[in-house]
Amino acid sequence: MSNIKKKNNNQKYIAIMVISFIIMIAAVVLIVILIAKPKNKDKNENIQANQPLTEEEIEAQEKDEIKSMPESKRMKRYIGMFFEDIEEGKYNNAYSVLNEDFKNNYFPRLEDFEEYAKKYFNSDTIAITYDNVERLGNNKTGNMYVIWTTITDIFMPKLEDDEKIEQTNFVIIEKNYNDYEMSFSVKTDEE
Amino acid sequence: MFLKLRLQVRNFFKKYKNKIFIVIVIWVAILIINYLLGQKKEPQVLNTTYTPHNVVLLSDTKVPEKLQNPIEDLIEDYVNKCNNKDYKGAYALLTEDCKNHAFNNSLEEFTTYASSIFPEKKRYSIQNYSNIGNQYIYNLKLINDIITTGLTDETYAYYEEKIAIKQENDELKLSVNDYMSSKELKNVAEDDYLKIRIETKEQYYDHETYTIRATNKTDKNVVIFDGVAGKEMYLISGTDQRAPSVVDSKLMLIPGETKTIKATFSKYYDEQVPADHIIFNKIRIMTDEYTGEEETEEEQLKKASRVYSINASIQ
Repeated sequence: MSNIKKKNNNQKYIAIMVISFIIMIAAVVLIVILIAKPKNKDKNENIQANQPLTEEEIEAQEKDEIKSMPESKRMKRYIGMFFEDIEEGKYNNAYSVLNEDFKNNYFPRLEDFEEYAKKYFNSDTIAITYDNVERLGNNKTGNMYVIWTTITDIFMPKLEDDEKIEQTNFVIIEKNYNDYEMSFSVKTDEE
Repeated sequence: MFLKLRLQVRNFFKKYKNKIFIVIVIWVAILIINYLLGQKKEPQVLNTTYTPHNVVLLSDTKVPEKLQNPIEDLIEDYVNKCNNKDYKGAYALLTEDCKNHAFNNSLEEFTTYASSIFPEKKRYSIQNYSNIGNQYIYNLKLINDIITTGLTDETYAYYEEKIAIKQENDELKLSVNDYMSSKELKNVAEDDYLKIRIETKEQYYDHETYTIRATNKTDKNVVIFDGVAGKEMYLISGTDQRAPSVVDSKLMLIPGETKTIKATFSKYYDEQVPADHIIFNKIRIMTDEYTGEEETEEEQLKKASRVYSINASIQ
């Protein structure tokens, strides 16, 4: 009887040892993985520091930055990027973010848009005031925002009392971070 | 050295090799599953202020998490069907109660309503507004597809209505056009002169409509509501007295006549205090001198043999 008890005790002792051994190995493996990870990252960062960023990397960085912004700031950023493209003469980039139906309605050709942008948006001294932002839409079909802006030239003469600058409305549908389409209220010559 | 221990370890492994193998296999499987789940990318949710299921007004209940997606799907389906002029499909998503009371069980009536709301494709947003038990009320905001125009030569405007969602035969169904619910009342208030029966109450988000049936038991003309006298009829809601905003016809009865009218009172569906009475405050039993041409309350009262009020319960 006492032999059986002793044998059982030994088995328990060995089982505990085996389990402890497995846990120890698992812990060591985990530690090695955790230590190895930041090392790889550091290595990558070093490589990046020495090499110019690729377009994808710039886009990813931009996306990360946009991700951290609240939605109203994101909308302002998208509009800012639109004007930046125009200012840098990248009309194709600015044209590419416009909604397809909007393009068909008002600017069927890139040249039409370029002509309009040169007339109304293209100035180094342009100033944009964001008057209001309202959100509409939903998660299923896209979050839609209406942004009321006033676009002025910083060197424009002072307005008379009864004069008022017409607002420009931007409508943006954000599908994902840095993935959006927009349109704006088009000024016609009659105005 | 340690010979005994080595032997014991060897024996242990020999004896439990199958169990140890199974434990190791399970452990490896867990590691692999954990790794795969870690690699799986969570769908990206945009950081916005859009919280469609956070209730705006103080409510006893909130929309259960398991119903949030099905509710979004249902509204999406409804709006898509209306946008695509599939009015029959959209009508099928309504509660029987809504079909019956808001559209008289008529697809044609619904089509007239829906085509006036959706003359062109609309975009929408929703916001849980208040909840009454298991009925979830949302504000549905509809706007033209302004991304296609950028609001050029267009004023920023949208249409709003309250829609209610509830389960009907284990299926989520909609009530639209502000319609919320209805109740068969059949409450009777009766005396020697009149029998007034409040047949039904139809509740819309911002008003209640009562069907009132009155029978003249006398051999005289009786005026209950003709718009000539002030405060002829009102709804009691807590300490409030509310005059009707719309009454579809006058309630003047010749001897023995029975007439049914509909009276609408302003009352929000999610008000805490329910309405409890309608008071018919100036019932006039007229003498034979009454012609029906009297233009003032004073003239009418002169020709009345009795003026009194009846209180009808609506609970």
